[in-house]
Amino acid sequence: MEDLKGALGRFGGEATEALQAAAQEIRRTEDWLQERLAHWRNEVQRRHEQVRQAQAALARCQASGYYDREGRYRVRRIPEKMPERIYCESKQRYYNHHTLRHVVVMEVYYRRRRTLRMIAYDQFPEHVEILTIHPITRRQVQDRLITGRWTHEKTGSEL
Amino acid sequence: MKKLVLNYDREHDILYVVIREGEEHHFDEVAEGIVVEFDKDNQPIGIEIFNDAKVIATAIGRERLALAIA
Repeated sequence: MEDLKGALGRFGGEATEALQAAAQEIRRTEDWLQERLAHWRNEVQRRHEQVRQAQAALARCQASGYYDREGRYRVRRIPEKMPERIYCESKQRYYNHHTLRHVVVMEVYYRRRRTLRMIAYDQFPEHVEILTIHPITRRQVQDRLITGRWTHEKTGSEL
Repeated sequence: MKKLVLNYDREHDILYVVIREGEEHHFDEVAEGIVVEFDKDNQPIGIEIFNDAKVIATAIGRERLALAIA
């Protein structure tokens, strides 16, 4: 009887230890799950924001138009979609304080060479009107920035 | 003499003068709102005038003034 009591006492102690260890493990798992939950909530929020920005960019691109003044692009051998593509894809965005117009600069691959091109456009609440496109040099861009004629404009993702 | 082609964008008030067809290599802003386009041989191929009505009115005004003074 004494042996049985002793054995039960030992078992009780070991079982308590095992249960405490299991409870600790469960708490650690719960903490980890909480941390994962917070992580994935943040991820979902971040991806939602990316989708929102992409939708806004798409809407801007779809709303952009350009006015080909009687075939100027044909006369200057400018691919029809180039101005729109520059507007949509470029991250180099400026504001021209002299003309009060927006400017975008991007390097494009055209006729087997890379050239820097600029477009000037007017921004309206619902759409954009591209006014002109020209090849431009980095020096010309720098000069305009140094003189303050152009200033950097934030891109959609920076706002 | 080859004819110049003039295109006027009334909505944005931009006058575009095509001197001849060809790819633009670079441009020079010769005055506020007046851009001359050049080909790779540095020959002018087009002129773009922004705020055309204002620029031309100013130019005509100056001309008349010059004539009046003369």
